[in-house]
Amino acid sequence: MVQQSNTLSGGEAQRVKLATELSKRDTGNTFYILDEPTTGLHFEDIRVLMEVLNRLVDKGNTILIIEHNMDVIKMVDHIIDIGYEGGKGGGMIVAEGSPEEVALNEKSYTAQFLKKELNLAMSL
Amino acid sequence: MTKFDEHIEVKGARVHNLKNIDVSIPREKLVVITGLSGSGKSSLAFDTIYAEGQRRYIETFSAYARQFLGGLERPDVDKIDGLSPVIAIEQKTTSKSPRSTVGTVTEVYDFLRLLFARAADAYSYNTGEKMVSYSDEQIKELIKSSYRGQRVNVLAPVVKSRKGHYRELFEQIAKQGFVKVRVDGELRDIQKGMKVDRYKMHDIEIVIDRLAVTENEELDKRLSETINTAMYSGNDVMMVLAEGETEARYFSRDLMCPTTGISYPTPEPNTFSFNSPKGMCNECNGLGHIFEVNEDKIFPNKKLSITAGGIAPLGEYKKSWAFKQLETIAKRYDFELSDPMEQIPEDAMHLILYGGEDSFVLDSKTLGVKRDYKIDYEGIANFIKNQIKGADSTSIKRWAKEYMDKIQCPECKGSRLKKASLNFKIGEKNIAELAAMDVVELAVFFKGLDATLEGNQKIIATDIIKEINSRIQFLLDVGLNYLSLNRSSKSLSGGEAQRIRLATQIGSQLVGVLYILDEPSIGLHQRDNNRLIKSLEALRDLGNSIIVVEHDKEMIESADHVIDMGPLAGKHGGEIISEGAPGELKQHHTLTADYMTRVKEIPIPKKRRKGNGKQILLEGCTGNNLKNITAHFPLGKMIGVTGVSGSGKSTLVNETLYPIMNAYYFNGVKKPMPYKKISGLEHADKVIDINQSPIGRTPRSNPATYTGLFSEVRALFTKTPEAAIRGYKPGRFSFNVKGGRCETCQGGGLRVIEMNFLPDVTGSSKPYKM
Repeated sequence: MVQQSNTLSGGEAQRVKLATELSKRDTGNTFYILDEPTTGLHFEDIRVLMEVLNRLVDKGNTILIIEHNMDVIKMVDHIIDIGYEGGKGGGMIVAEGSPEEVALNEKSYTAQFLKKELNLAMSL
Repeated sequence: MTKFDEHIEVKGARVHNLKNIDVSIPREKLVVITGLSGSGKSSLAFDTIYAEGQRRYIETFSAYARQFLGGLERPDVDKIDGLSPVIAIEQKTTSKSPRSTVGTVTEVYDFLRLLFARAADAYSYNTGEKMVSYSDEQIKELIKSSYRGQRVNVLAPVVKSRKGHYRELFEQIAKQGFVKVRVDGELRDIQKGMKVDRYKMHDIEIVIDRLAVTENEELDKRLSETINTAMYSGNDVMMVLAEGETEARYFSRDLMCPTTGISYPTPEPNTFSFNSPKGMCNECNGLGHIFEVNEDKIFPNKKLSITAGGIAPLGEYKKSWAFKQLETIAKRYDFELSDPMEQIPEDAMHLILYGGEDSFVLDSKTLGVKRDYKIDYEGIANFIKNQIKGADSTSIKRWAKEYMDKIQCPECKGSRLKKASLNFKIGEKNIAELAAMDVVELAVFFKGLDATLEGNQKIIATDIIKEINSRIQFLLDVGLNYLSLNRSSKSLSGGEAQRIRLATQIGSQLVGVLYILDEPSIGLHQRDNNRLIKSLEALRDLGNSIIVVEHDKEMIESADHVIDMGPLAGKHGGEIISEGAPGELKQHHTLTADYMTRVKEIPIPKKRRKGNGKQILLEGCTGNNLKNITAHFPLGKMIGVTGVSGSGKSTLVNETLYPIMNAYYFNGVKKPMPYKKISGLEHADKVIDINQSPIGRTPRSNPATYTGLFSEVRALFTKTPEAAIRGYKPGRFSFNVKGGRCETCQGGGLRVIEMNFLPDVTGSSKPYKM
C-alpha cells in the first residue's frame, strides 16, 4: 500500500481508481467509461474484474468499455465495432448489437475473432 | 552448468516478492514471462535482470562520471551470468514535449527534411510558378537569347518595399561610381543631396550598366562583368529591363520567382524543421496551435454583475487596482458595477476586454468640481494573453489557459511551418502534406515517387528514400499503419509509444542485445497481433534475446520458452511455477495453463441483459477520422466499443461522448469533437471516467492515500493508548506533515538528487527506509 503512486503502471492506476469509485455509493444510474481496463491483467484477473463490473451493471448502472480483448468483448451486452481499418480507412460503425449479432458480420475484423471465441465456448 | 552463450543464469533473486529463485533463460530466443498481476513478473524482468544490466553498464563509466550517478543499488540477487547489454522497451510515453511527433521519434521526418532540402522543387507562393535559380553563365546566355537586338538596363535591387529617405544610400551609390538609379520604376540621375519621401515605401535599384545586346566579341566579356557587379551590389539578385518596357525580369543565384522577384533562402534540412527558427511558423512558434481568449469563458454568466463576479478571472469585488480601473470605465460609460453584465454598453465591454486609452472630464457630484479621469487600461483579454507569453510560472500559465481555447494556428493552418517551407514540393506534395498522411498512404506515395523523379534528383533521392522506406516498413510491421507522422507523441497511448520504440530498435540492426518488453500487445487488435509477434521474431532472428512480459494467449503460444510465475499475487507469488516450451507448460495445472487449455475459462454470460430500454443517442460525429457516425449507447447494459487500433474508438468515446456528458453533468469545460446532436443524457445521473492516467505525479500519493484508506488508518492509530498518552493527532502518522514525516526525505521515502545535466537520481532516505 505504500507503493508510490507515480510508480504505478497505467493499468494499476486505473484499477486503484476503479476501487475508489466502487467504494463510493453508486446512484444506481451512473455511466462509467473504462479505457482498456484489462491492461496488465492475467486471464484470472480479468475474470475477477469482469465479475465486479457485472455486479455494477446488475445494479442498473451503465458501463462502457473500450477494449480489444476478446475475453471482455464476448461478455458485453452491446458491441459497437468501429472500423474497418485504422486511420483514414476507419471511423465508420461496422457493426452494432449483441456479440452474437456482431459475430455474424462478415466484414468486421472483430467478428472473425469473436466467432472463434463464441463457437469454442459453445462447443465446450 | 550451461554455457554463457546459451543461457542467462539468474541465481537467488529476491527482489520485491521473489522467493530466492533460480532461473535460466535461453538466449537468442523469444521468452515470455507470464503470471497473475503482482506475481513478480516485472520484478524478475525489470527490477532484477534489467536493473543489473543497467548497473553493470554504468560501472563501466569512469569513477568521475559515476560520482554524478551515485551508487545505483544492486538488485537483491546472488548472481547473474551471461548477461548481455539490456534495452528495456517500456510503455512509458517517450516524450511529453509538444515538439515531439511520430515523425521525429521514428526519424522519418528527419529524412524527409533532408529529402526536401536536397531534391524538392520550390514554387512561388505568389504566382505558383516554379522558382528558379541561375548560375552567372546561364544568366548571360538567357540575356543574349531573349534580348537579342534590344537595348537593356542591368539593375541591382538594393531597396525593396521599405520606407526611408535614403539620402546616405544615394550618396554611397554615387561614391561607387554609378550615375543612375531606378526609383519606384522611374530612371533618374543621381544628384547631390538627392532623397525620397521618407514616409512612403520605395523600390530602389542601381543601374549597373546600359548595353545593346548585339552579337560581338565585346559583349560576352562586358556581360560577365556587369552580371558580376550587379550580383555583388544586389546581394545575388539582379534585374534586366529592356528599353521602353516597364516590367523588369529577375535573375537570381538563389531560388526566386521570375515574375514577382520573391526569393527563398537556399533550403537546408532546418528549413523544414518546425523546431528550428529557420523553419517554424512565426505565429505559433512551430507548435501548430495557438491559444486564444474565449470571451464566454471570461464572462460565463452575463446575468451576473461585475461586483458579483461576472468577470470570472477577477472574481467577486474586492479592493484592488483592477476594480478601480473598472470603476473608472463604468463612470466613463455611465453604468454601475452592480449592473448585470448584459446591460453594459458594447463599447465598454470592448474596452474591458481589449483595453485602450482615454481621458475625460466628469463633474464630481459631491464636491461640485470637475475632475480629470484617465483610462490607460490593458484589457483583460490582453492581460491573459500576455500571461501565456511572458509568465515564468506554470501555475499562472495554467490559470490563463482556463480562459483560452486552443485553436489551430491561422497562419500555418496547423502545419507548423513557414509559408516558404511549405512551397517546396516533391511529387506535388509539400512536407506538411506528407506528414499528415498515415503510414500506409506514405508507403504508397514513396513507391510511386521513384518513377517520377529524374536525373540529379533521382540520384540524390534514392538513398534517402531507401532509409525512409525501411523505417516505414518497420512501422507497418508493428501494426502502426494508421499513425501519421505529424501525430504528437504526447497523444500516443503507452502501447503505441512502445511499438514505435520497437520499430526503431528493429531498424537499428543491433545483434546480441537483450530486449525486455512490457506487454507490447496492449491496445492492439487481435488482427495486428500476428504482425507484432512476427516483428519480435525478426528481432530474435537477427541474433537478439527477447524477454516479453505478457498475458496474451497468442504471444504465449508463439514463444520459444515460457516462464510462469505464481502461484498467486503479492506475498503468495514470486515463485516460478512452471517453465518450458508452450506445449510443456500446458501439461502443468497452473492458472495460466488452465486458461490456455480452456480448462478454466472466463464464462460467457448465458443471457445478455436487456437494459432499461433507454439509450443515449449520439448523432453525426465527425471528429478526427470519424465519418459522420451515429452511435447508440443503451443504458443499463455493458457496452463494448471495439475495433482495430486507430479506428476512432477513443475519438468517439473519450473525445466526443465523455466531454459532452462531463459538460452536461459537471460543467466540464473541455470541448468535445464536432457532433450534430445528442439525446437521452437525462436518463443517467452522472458519468465517471476511469482512465489510465496516473493517479498522482508526486511521490506523496499512493493507493492508500488516494482511496482514502490511509485517513482511516491514521485515525485508528491515534486511538492507541500510547498515542493518547502523548497526545498524538492524526498528523503525527502522516508522512506529508511535519511532525509525522521523516525530515531527511521530507516524507518522500526517497531523496531526489538534482543532477543538473543528467536526469534526477532518487536515492533511499538513510534513516528510515520506506
